[in-house]
Amino acid sequence: MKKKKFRIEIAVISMIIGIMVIMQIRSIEGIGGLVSTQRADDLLVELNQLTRENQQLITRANELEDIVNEFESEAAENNQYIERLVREAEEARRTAGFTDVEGEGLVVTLDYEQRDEEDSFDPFLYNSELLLLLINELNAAGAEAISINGERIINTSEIRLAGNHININGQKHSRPFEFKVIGNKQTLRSAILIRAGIVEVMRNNYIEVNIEDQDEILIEAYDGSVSFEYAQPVEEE
Amino acid sequence: MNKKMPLWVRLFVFMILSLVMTLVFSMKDSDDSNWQNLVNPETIYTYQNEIDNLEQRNQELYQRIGEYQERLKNYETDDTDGEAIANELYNEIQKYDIIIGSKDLSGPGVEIELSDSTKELQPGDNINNYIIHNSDVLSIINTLKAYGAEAIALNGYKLSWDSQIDCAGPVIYIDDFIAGAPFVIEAIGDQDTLYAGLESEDSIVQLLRYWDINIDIQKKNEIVIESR
Repeated sequence: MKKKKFRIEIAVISMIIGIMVIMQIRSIEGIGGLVSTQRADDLLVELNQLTRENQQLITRANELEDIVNEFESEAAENNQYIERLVREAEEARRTAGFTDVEGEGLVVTLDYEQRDEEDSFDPFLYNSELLLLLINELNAAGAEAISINGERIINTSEIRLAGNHININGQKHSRPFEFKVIGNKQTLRSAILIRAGIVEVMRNNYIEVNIEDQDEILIEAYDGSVSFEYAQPVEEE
Repeated sequence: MNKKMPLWVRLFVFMILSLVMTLVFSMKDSDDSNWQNLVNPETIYTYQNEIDNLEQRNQELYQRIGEYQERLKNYETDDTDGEAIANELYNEIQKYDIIIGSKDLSGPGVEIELSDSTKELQPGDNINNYIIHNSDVLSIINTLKAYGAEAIALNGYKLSWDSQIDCAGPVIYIDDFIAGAPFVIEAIGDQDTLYAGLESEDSIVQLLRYWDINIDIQKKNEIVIESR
């Protein structure tokens, strides 16, 4: 009965192999599964294409803007009405946040330091309203312009948790968050650093806060376009 | 146990076992070093995010280029008396006036009325959970913006990006404006989208309702938000 003899051994071996296969699968699951490099390559190609297209579009838009401005300033030279309109339009653009602005202020960087590789905790996903509160505190201290990761905060800007990232102006962002704020450095700094203030709350929530004074900060213009569909000016009678 | 296995059988078994073990471990090792080259979903996710962002940006840029081209065409066809330029500039100022809110605006939207919870406090309850804080109001406003609100006012005071909303005891200060309960938030935008956004499962509104804070949301066909 030679056949019977091997049964135990085979059972043991298959058990061990089974355990090892499971271990392998588990360890792959631990890093979130694998995806084919093919897909990543495709995406990278698409990304590069879009980046190039984006650059070209920005250059084109700037060129056209210059030409338009040229026309307007030329017309303004011999027409006072147009000159006033040009000035008003510039003022309106500036107030709405559609121009770059420069001035003294703070750069506040928020980040989270991972304990180790496995640490997937992200305080911003649990406390995204802290970003809102920070903006509120900065406004209380007289901030004149704010941008987060290059997203200029304007009247319609939202900061909203959406899955694994935070939407600002409809664009997806994740940590680190860099707030650029123009205003009185001293006032801004003391307003957010006040005891039990926003920075303390953030630090209690495991967010690293780094504040830097700067004499010259450039805050980029809002680069999207806003068009209102529903709100209409009330006709004056 | 009675019958001892012949030696060669045992040896054979151990050989296979050790072979399998070394194979498995070496496989694992080589995989570890390969994982840098392989891609995990996070990378894909990041790429996808950037692609989405760029796509949206490019869309907006195309729109802007279109606007400029339109304008240039008008300028080039009639540039004698500067009427076209004046018109375009006037339109632009109008457009920004609406965005900034220096014009009274009207349109469809929603009206939200908030008032503190009237529930009787039980021993151990924290009163802070039953009253409205500035962060709640901020979150609601943020939600409204996320769902496309074009203009928002609190108790009739038009909000802009640089409005600060502060708790001050029984009232809320917005800049220099004092708002008392009940707080009425009006927003102009797509009624259904705004309503759905506020009523969605993960919305701040649901959380506040849990604390029995009274929230009344109404769709309105005509909301007027006055400029400051």
